[in-house]
Amino acid sequence: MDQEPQSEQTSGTGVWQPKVIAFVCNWCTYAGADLAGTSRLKYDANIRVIRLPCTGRIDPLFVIKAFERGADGVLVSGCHPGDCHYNTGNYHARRRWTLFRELLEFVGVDLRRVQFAWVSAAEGAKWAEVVNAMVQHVRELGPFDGYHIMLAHSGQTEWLKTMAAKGGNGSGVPGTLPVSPREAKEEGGVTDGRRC
Amino acid sequence: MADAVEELRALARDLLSKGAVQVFVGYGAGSVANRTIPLIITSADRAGELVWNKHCLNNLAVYLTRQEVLKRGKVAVVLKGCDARAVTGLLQETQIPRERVVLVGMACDGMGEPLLEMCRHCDVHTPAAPGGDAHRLACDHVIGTATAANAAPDDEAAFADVAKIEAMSPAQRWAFWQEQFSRCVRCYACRQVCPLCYCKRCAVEKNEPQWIASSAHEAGNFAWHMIRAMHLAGRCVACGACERACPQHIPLTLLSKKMAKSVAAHFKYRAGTDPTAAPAVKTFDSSDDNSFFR
Amino acid sequence: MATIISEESLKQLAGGLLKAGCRVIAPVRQQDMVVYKAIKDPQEMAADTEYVLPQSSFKEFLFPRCECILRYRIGEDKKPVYESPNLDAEPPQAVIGCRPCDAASLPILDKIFGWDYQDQFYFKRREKLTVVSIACSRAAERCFCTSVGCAPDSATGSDVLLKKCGNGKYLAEALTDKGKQLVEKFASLFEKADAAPAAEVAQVKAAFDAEKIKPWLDAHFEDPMWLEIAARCMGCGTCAFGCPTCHCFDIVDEGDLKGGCRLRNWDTCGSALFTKHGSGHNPRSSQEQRYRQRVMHKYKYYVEKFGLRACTGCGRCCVRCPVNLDLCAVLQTIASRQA
Repeated sequence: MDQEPQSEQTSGTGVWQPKVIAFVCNWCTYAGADLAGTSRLKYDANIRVIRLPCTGRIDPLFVIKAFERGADGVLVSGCHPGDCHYNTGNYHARRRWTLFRELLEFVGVDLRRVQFAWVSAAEGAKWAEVVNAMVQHVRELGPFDGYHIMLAHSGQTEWLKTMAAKGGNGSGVPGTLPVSPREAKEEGGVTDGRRC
Repeated sequence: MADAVEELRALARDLLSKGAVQVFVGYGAGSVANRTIPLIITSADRAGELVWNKHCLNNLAVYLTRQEVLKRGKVAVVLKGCDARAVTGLLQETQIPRERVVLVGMACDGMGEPLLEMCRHCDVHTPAAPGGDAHRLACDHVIGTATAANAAPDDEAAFADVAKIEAMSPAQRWAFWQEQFSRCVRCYACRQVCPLCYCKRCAVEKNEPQWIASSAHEAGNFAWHMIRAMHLAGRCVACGACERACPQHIPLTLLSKKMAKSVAAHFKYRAGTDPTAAPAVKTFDSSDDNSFFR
Repeated sequence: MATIISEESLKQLAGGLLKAGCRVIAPVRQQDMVVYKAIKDPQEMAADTEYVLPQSSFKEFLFPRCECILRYRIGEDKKPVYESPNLDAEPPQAVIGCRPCDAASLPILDKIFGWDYQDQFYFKRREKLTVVSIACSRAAERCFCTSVGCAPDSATGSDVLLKKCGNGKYLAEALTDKGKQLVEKFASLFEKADAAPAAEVAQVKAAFDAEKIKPWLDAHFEDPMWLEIAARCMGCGTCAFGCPTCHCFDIVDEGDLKGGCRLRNWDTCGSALFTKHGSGHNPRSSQEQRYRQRVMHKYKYYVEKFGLRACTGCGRCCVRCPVNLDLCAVLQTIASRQA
């Protein structure tokens, strides 16, 4: 449907590709991912890895930011409990994630979009497996439309190709952005002065 | 309640005139029906302005985090049982030295006319007096008697509204919260009235880079409410001040109670009950839930 | 000779405006509140008996709480492309069922938005706005319009003023050219009556003598009263954001290397950050200084600059405030202290 908000994630074939962001710890999972690479293990390329010193450093805000920047899924991975390079970072993280994922679920986010793993530096094969499973889940779920619509209403649209292609906001209503075509059909367009 | 208010006024007069405290924070008459105001007095002759009735809703513990109050010296603050839980939190997080504050507990049968929903399942009608269990925050004075005894917490009743949301489908939940957050104007009344939101510089005020958009658009509001709920998870005592303060009537306590439910279920911890306990989000256990990790 | 319109016909008028492509704003029930909202169907309009004053002002239809004022992106040739919102394409808007204290805010806002430059974002919408006010037949607990030169049936800022006159009808008065045009356009919905029936207008006793306020403010910048009053202020934006005349804003840029937007957001002088300098110094570092600023701005500085008080006495701030910091009560105290 060429009316759908299209992301840049079409890889030239016109088929949507999931974008999964992985926040990983430097000492275990990053090394494990590196091992997967040196072992020439194949895994889905739809993953962008962000390296942090420890899962304890990963703020839930990073997950929100990833969705704000167009991610369809977020993976968090680090050292196995007991093996944290900083002794206890991943224990604190584990508690934090226990709560955060329940909060996300409570507001209606599908938890298959936010997944967690412990991948050690020796587990290159596991890394590949985890990534493939995650990307497959997200592929099945499709783009994170709910979030993308929220972003379209918030001025955060530069990664929406239709905006760039059309130039200007197209809707003619100052300070507002085209609502998703689905919404426009249901609601008859912008209905109040709240949107920016 | 009439006797309680006289006792309260006498106590305030006594503490202020003797110089035991420099500031007394209680409730005063509101300017419209069914409202009271936080009354901050510094002289004994104003003690007669203190009131105690069914409309004493504000959580006055928040003034223990305000420089405008603290800079004047020792502070006495009137606390209902629910408000005192916030003081427990502040003490656990070493935000106020215990010796600088005088805690005046008020026995309470519930606020609001009609009775507030949260008061229906209150388990702290009478704040603890000194000399009791070290694992409960003791007020320095306890005034009045409640007709209802302190019962064990009834979580099913307390979390019934949370359960209603949990019972919705994910799509319904998403639509519900999108509608609620879209009304937010980012006035930050929720944050300002919360005793546990005491950060001198809130996360949303960090602008290099701007981690949480300060704009009142849908994405910004979503991020704000998610992060605020997370920053309060395991710390919020569900006093309801945020929800009462919100001019857009967003049901904010649903988020904090959901977190409280998760914290209780996973970590067997309730915020604001035991001043000697280590906060759940500060500690960990090697047997914490690992089931959601691959 | 009087012009009358029934409640039902008023809804039909709203329907006619909607059909003509006008954005129609009216008081609408939302959960347990009545708020000004753009409607899709006249049946959404709350009955006049359901509310005295909508919970917030309608300023957000002229001055949105979050508004994109500029958009940029990096074009195909790697050069920046700037896009301004097409303000001329803004549809006409009409508020049906506005209260006089909200309508009266328009001349006040016009001053600041037209002060050192004409704020196009405001005026392009303002030009296309028609205001049909309904005079208050009941007063809310904290109304103090009559203390500040406004009234439950004030005509200030309205294009058409309706007054309840019994039997589900309103006495209608077209006050401006815009108002006359609207009445003409929908002439079939209005009836004529030989004599004007009695209008039901609320009685609001003046709470204080507004003439005493500025002299006191002129002489009491430093006064212990500020700390006494404002020690309990929470420093949130509840008062400012509900106020029909508050207009402060913050400009933020949101975006990245590929593109983004510049937004104008509501701001509040009650917030600690409002006057925080980049150096870290804050000239209004304590809450009573910020509260003093609020009162001074509305009752002294705005008067000196524009000859108008930046307050229409709607009383929303008094009621919405989480700590019931009552501006009317503060002004009464000030007036009583001024000889």
